[in-house]
Amino acid sequence: MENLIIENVSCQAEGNEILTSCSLEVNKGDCVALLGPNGHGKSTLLNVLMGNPRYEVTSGSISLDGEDLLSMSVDERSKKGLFMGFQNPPDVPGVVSMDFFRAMINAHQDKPVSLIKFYKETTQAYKRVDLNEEMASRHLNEGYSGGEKKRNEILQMLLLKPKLALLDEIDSGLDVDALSLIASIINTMKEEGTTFIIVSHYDRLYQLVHVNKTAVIVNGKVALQGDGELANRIAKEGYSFLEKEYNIKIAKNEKKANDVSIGSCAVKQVIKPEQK
Amino acid sequence: MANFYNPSSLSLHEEISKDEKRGYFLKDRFEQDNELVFDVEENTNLDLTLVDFSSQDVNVHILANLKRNSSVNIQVASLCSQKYQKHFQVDVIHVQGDSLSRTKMAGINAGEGKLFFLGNSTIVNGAHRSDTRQEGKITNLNPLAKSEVSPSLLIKENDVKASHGAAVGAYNESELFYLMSRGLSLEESKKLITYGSLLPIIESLGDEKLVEEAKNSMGELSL
Repeated sequence: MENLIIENVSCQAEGNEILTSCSLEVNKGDCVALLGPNGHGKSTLLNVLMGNPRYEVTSGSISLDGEDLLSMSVDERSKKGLFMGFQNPPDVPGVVSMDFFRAMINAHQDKPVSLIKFYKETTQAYKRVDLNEEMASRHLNEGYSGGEKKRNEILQMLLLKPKLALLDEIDSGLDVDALSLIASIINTMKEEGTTFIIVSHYDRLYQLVHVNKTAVIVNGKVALQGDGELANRIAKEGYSFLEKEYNIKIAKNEKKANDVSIGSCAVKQVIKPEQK
Repeated sequence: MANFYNPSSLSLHEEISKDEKRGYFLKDRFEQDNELVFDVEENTNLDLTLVDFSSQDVNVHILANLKRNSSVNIQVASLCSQKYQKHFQVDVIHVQGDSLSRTKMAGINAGEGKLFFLGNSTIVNGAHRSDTRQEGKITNLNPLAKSEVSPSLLIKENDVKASHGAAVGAYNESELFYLMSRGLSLEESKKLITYGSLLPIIESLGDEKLVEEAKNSMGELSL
């Protein structure tokens, strides 16, 4: 990957606009800290890059090495070298991890991977993320703890060797040792040529992986950019200085309750004012 | 494991007095209405797997009566195609205490037919420390498919564990996005999820030929 150019991207989900004219440029070898208050669009931007159909891009463009990323299907984006480490990887009952990993690797190459090479690579990957290799025979993410799910995401990143990795709060739920382990894997992959965009609420990961660029998303757009020092400053001071120094006002993020939510055993209905 | 491949009739009433694993694979031309009743004696376990890949209407009722310290594990997998009507009801009655039951039903409704997974887990008064779970999931591949999953709990004792879960619908969007984000096409992702919903149950029959036969049947599905 040489560059990723996001230009004036707006997107919505379920009728709510989340990103508003969002722009960002990422170059090969960058390790970008994507920061911002809760609910202002960090995870949404990563999902839009990966092509999550839940988000509808209403305007703007995204190009990856000059190619129109938005016209590509999700799997095509993966084959172009994008990888997303999920904040909450879904359980996929019935799909055995080992079978899935093999299908995943085969999707990225012309000839199916040989059994020996596959076994060797997965064994090494399990060791590197410090997960029990026997988990390969379990269903994908089913019954995994939060930390195991995050390690399993990094394991898949190791197997796919992406050009651009989008990591969405990959450090949440990890203990200090696991965080150091994952940071060391990110650093190794950086040296091998992977570019990273990392969303995290903690400066610890940013310090360990030495981010060279910081982008702050506020109110659905990249409101401020800087080097790695900006991430450190936000970790110390929070976001309050944005308004004082840059006149960036942070809109309050008030989530509306759904009209109807379905529980496991009953239907709960929010009483609207006119029904009272 | 005692497997019964394509039996002409399933109707029976048996007393289970020693641990038993039993599997049924329904393919075609068996009686439409079937009732299997098992009285599971004390300290005994019954492991029952029913796989239905038949091309006909089906109506199966399974009833397990559990005595003290007995257990039953019932798994049902069904593939419903065309306009067939398939109706599976699994009832478990915890007649005495310290008994355990697990019911798992998984289905694919690929045509315009009807697929019903119903069931009651009953824990009677006095069946202390009994433990029951009923769960069912049906994936509709066709917008005209009609499916229903309704696992019910009838609990008449306090000192027990009871839970149930049901899911009906098309493919889970977040699962599809996750698999596709790893490079799998939409069709490959759907295939993995479809196979994945039924295969674990079919594999528990422990018969490679049956697994292959089931895979072939699922491979013919239009996803």
